[in-house]
Amino acid sequence: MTWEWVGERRAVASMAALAGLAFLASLLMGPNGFGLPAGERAFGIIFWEIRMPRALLGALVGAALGTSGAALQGYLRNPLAEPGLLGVTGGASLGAVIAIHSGAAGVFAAALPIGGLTGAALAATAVLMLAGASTGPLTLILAGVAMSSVAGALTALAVNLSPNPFASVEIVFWMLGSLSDRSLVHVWLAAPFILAGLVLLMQTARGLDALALGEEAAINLGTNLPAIRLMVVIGSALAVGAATAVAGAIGFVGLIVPHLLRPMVGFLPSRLMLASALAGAVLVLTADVVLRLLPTSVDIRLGVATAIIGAPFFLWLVLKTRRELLP
Amino acid sequence: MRLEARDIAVALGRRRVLESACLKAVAGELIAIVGPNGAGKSTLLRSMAGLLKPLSGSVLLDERELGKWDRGKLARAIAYLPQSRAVHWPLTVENVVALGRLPYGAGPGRLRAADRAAVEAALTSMDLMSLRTRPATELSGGEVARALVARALAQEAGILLADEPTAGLDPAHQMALFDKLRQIAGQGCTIIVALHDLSLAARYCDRVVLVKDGRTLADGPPDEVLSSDWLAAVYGIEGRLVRIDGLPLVVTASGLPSSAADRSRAAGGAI
Repeated sequence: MTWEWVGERRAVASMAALAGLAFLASLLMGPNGFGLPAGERAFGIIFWEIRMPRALLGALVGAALGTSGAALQGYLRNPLAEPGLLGVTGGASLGAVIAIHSGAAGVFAAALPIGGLTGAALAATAVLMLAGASTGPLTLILAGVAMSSVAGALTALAVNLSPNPFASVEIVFWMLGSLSDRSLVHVWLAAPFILAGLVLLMQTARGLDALALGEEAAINLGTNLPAIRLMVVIGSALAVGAATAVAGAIGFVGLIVPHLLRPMVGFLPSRLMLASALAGAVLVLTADVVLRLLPTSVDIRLGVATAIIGAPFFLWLVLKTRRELLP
Repeated sequence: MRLEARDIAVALGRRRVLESACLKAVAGELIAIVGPNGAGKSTLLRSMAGLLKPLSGSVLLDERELGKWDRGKLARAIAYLPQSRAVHWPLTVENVVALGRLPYGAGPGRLRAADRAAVEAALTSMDLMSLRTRPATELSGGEVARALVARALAQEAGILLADEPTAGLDPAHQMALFDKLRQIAGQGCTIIVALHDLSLAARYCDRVVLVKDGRTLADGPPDEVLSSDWLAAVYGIEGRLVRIDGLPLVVTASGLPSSAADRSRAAGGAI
């Protein structure tokens, strides 16, 4: 047992080191390559009000997506589960889009993330009510898929009804996900929810381990399954809802990260949580830095980049699963 | 510890699976629940593990209803081994067994000396030492079954409820498992197993409980309960408990015509 424990320590330690490096790189990354802004006044403004919020949000958003993915995959006992499955991402997007569409976002900047948070909260409540009292994974997946389609349909309606082409472009661009032009206000708005969500999700670790043997064995091992379900859904809603509210929809991080780390921690759901939080931060921060390095005339959005990295990964997962199923 | 199902009725969905089941177990007993498919054996075990809530009647652990027990205390008092042998992630065998220590605040990678000793003893008794670092998902059905039994043993509960623990095991490991169950019963553990192998029940168990159509029909020593009359009444087969070199064996012949089964049931009478 010792070597695996060391393995987990090593996974967490290396991910923490990588996260630290990615955070530093994000802080040092300027419009003209790496470097610190010159001049005392410029330094204060650029470093504290532009670069720091971006790096902090990247770390928070990545941690939220990674941890929520790990918890959901553990709870549903399915390596293909990801935070978007719960309908929370869709709800947060819809809330933010309504804030843009109604013009509230133009009046004061915080309206957009507040709209997103409200949307995420409503979506999570609806999913929990729809799924009802049963503890099986299937009802939760069905409720999440239903919620996602409702939110998607209403978002499309908002784009369709937008008063002018600029509004629809703004909505579409916002939905592609980005960390650029965020301020400390965004950090203060999102951080408490994300941190509370992470704390809730981490509490489920032992229950998720027990669930590896099925629901009845988990209950016999003293697991309070309804409580675990509630913590997974509410924790994901807080963390991913807040992340989506400030950064837009960023896909695939919650799917890939737990999947890649699982072999490093002996496949134990409990050991995956902290490592996934750190690796999620690494992935989002690195993607954001690489995007800023790319010499494109138009900004490539973060959500687009994670999708472009993530989709081939998904194909690889399909091929790998198919190979394993062959005799 | 004493575990008692007092005249319970249990429904799964809309179907009433148990109508009226009674079973009382005291410390040191090894009890087999036998009966045809769909008789309600698993439902009785799951109810006694506190996984299903009876519609009427009650399940009492030390004279106290299961629902009134603290979750953690219940987990340290009753170990339940489900019939399904699911291991959802490729956990190593020793980590699967270490999950049995969750009720003690320990678990895989977080074992204190007492936990470690329990895990090692469980691995040894189920002959798993050579498989301990193998992923459970790459084992044969019988090997997974042994790993899951070891998990329940590592839980070190006073009561062990096991749903067909020997299904899929080779004869040597079936005997090894029952020798182990006898041994822990000798140490004061209460064990109830749902079984299909009547010879194993006759050979190892102190009592046999017959279940049919959601009712516990007979309860007593194997010699009484596994009689030709009861076998005909419950399974509709001709069967007999014989002894070869002193070891009991239940031999069975072809199914009786149903009229003959009815006649035997009439002859067998009620308890």
